[in-house]
Amino acid sequence: MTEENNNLVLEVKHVSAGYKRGGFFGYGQKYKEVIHDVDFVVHYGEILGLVGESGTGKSTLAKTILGLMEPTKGEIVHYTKRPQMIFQDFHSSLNPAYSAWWSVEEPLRIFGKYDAEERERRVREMLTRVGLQEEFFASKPDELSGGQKQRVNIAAALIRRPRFIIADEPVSALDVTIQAQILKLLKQLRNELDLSYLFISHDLNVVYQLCDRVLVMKDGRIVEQGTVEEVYNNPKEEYTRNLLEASK
Amino acid sequence: MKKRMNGYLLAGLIITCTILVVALIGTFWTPYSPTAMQYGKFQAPTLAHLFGTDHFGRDIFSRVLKGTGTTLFIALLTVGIGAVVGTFIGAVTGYFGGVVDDVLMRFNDALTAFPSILLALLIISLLGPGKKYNVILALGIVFIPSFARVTRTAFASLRDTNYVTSARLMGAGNARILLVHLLPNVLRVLLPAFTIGFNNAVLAEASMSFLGIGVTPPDASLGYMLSEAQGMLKAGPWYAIFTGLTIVLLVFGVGLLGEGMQAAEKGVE
Amino acid sequence: MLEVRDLHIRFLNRDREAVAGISFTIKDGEIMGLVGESGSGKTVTAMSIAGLLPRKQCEFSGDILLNGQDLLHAERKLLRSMHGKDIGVVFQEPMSAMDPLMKVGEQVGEVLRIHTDLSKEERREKVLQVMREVELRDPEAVYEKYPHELSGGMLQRAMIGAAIVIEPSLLLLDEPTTALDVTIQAQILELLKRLNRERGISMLFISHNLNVVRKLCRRVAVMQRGKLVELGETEEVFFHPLHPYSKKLIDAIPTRDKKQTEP
Repeated sequence: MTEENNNLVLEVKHVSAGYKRGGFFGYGQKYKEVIHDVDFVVHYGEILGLVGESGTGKSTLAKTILGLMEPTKGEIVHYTKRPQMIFQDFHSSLNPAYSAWWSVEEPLRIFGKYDAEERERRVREMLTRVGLQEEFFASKPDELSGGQKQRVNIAAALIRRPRFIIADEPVSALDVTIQAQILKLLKQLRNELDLSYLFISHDLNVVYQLCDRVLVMKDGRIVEQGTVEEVYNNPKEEYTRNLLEASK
Repeated sequence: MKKRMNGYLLAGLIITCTILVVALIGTFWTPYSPTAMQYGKFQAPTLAHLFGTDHFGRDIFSRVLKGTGTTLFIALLTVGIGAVVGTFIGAVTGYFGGVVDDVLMRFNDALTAFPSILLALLIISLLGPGKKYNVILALGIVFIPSFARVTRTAFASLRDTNYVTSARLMGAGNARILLVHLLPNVLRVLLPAFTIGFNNAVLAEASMSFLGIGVTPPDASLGYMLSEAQGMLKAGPWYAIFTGLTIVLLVFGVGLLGEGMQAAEKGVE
Repeated sequence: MLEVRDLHIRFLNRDREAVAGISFTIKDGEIMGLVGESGSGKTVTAMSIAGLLPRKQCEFSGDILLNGQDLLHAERKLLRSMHGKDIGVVFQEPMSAMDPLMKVGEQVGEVLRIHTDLSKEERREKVLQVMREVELRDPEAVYEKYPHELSGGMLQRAMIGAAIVIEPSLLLLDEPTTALDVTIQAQILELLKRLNRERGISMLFISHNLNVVRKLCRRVAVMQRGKLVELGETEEVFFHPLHPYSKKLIDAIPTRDKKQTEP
């Protein structure tokens, strides 16, 4: 590891990935590449935005980084322990059969290194940290509001103390006032727990508010990247200019 | 999910529980011996013999008590086999997909293509007829495909939910995801399927016994008794009436129960 | 043109009123915005104006007058005859608002089939004309397509076409751009502005996105928990909100003017 790499949490080196479709008994599948030659790094402690319109491969990139899909070309290097993910569709992120408490404790049970007492202490600490009131600890997902569900999801993602989080449109489905609360919480958690984020969004204004650097993705390629100020004040690509103009 | 009481559920519970209690009593105690032939042939219902007696002079009330137990036993075990094996197949095919899914589900389709009674007949003739456990096994096998299909759909649709992805990211193994994360959610669709399957099992057992390939004396199931009653419809219609009513009540009660559970799931009053 | 007076709606299985006494008017040729968060009652308000309120499941009172004609208490039959003719409706999800088995062109012309005696050829001509007006490229080809063959933006254009083909006096738009990408969103907003300018159609634009409302509407009403908490000129409400909830909503909008400081 070079000196420079000590400051990185993630390196995505010329990665291409896609899906296999169709086929019968495993034969005759067709491969469709979705992301092409994607190359970027995430620095320690930064919030990196990833913007682009629907269908450009943002979620495919997230899945590939998380190891849920294999890159067909290139390499992904993690410098921290396994990253965790916060999803856009918070309705299906929590198991409807279990309580908020259970969902946050589950990663620790899977981990298996802590006894019941230690698990309880950690779950209570984390649920309090994300701002869920105690009376909702035992609630099932369908008794929670959208904002509360997303708080529980964040707690579950953070309970094993990862250093790198991929957030896929975590606030897009929320009302604007709740959105502001969750964004504030994400910022606060970054500072408190030394986190880095890859923040995926189609909302350029949210990205401007939250992120340090930004990647612009179009048709499966990164077409532009730089600090938020650079890209927003001086976009080089026409596509970026169109996006910025449209979201003013 | 809040389970709310509703009319269907309440009525279903009352009927089903009553029958369960009756069957339980019948297993251990009946007013007369259900097989003794000493109470006079073709007696109409009296206080002494509530449902009358049959062509051998047996007490029909005692036989119904005992027979309900046998029928319940057969139906429960049958559906049990179908549900457990079917859920296992559904889990494997729905969750993992791929070639296993293709092979098993085509086999499933082939099984479904046979009329179920015919299939059961075939299996029984292979296993050897006339034994209670062979009937259960045969019917159980017949019930596997429908449970497999229902649970496969459920597992497949839940496989890609975010909470499963999350669990996988946390390092949960397939066994844990299947048993702890998915099974409780699949049970919600399985319970109504279970009640429908139970009713089908009661009726299938009845038709098989009626055809003479089900249980054999001295065991008596409701279905077998119905086939006996057929021979004495004119001389003693009460045999057919009371046995038939018991089957109808049982199927009706369990049907209401399933209806009620589905309504409770949706939160309908 | 449209007048809503002291509208109350309560669903029978709920304690709280979904709409708790709101009044507003839309003038001829005006685009009015209605903003609020989920559960604020904005969609229920729209449904009652469109005559889509499930009347058996709720209690309601007040008046909704369109050009002097009562909509809230009107008979079903009358409402049906007005629906589509006097009021056009565009929903958030164009995909689910369309019949997947019917050609797009036929769906756009469906209102004409119900409300006019035009022949098939005349209807087709009219549909193609309106498709050109909503800037659908190659209308002849689009006419023959099925909904799944069109993109979200094209579908939403077709929906707007279907809503205006019979020249209604009021267009109800319920979050018509929420499901679309920003660049497409901007195009649809431009289209709506032009239709308003050229055809003089009045519009009620419902959205949770104040930024979008600001681009389109001259006046805006803010709803919270079934009540209208603020009503005024959009710019006025934006820069000098009177109600604390409006202020909270506006402060919550992520913008590029003010980068909030670290917490």
